Amino acid sequence: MIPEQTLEALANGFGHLGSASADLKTAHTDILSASVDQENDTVTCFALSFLAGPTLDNMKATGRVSYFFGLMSHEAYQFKGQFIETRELTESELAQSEQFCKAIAEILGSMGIAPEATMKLVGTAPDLGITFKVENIFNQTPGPEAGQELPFN
Amino acid sequence: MITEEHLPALQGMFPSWITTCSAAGEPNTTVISQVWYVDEEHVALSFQFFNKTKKNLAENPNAFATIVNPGTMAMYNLDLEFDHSETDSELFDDMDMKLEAIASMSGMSGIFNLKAADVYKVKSLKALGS
Repeated sequence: MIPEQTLEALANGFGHLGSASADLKTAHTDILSASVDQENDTVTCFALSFLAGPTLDNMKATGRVSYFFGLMSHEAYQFKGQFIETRELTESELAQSEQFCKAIAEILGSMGIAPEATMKLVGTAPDLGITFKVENIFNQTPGPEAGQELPFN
Repeated sequence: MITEEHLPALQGMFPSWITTCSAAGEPNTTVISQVWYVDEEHVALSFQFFNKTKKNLAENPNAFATIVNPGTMAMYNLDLEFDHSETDSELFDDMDMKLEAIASMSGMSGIFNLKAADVYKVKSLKALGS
């Protein structure tokens, strides 16, 4: 089971999915929310296919995944694991991402960022699910517990 | 490589992200307070507490970062190569002062603590989606 304490940040945090090529060059891509399959300990990240190319190519080549996500409160986590597949997003996942993008747009708007600028960040709906099996979870919230591995399974 | 167009994204107004990997190929992705402009071909990152990133860079100098222009939300991807660390320099002092300001604004005073200014060579810089 993926720890309960990470679920809010998984759904509502801004995330970046990272990977490395066989020759140790890295890449990451923006993620617009994520869903969890607790039975199988997998996470599906909601990605934009036109941005995810290099990150996905690496994952397909090496299998390794890092997923960092955090809330505005600075609460943050990093999941590490093994790439499984890409797939289409479900209607429920697309609705979840839409809610996420609206919330981010509101936060950025409250910071004085123009709506047309905000749309560059969250104005395009994700069109790709990237699923990985979670193997390790690390607390990344700044402070004394940053970097500590969370008990899992 | 770095031009005036990119400078707003190097002011620390919006977080940046960095991905490194170990010699064994295990990636690590984390957020950073600021990517700091050094010159047209170099940037500096604040080394605070992201120890895995530091450990990875000792094994493999390649890194990938994303910076955001807070005015336009234009994002840029940077392919980086770690060059050296500074702990006693004008760059370190400037970054330390700015980091304290960011910490104060974000409620992280006493938690953000600059250990070193890590200088990277910028190998490429591309607008996201280009």
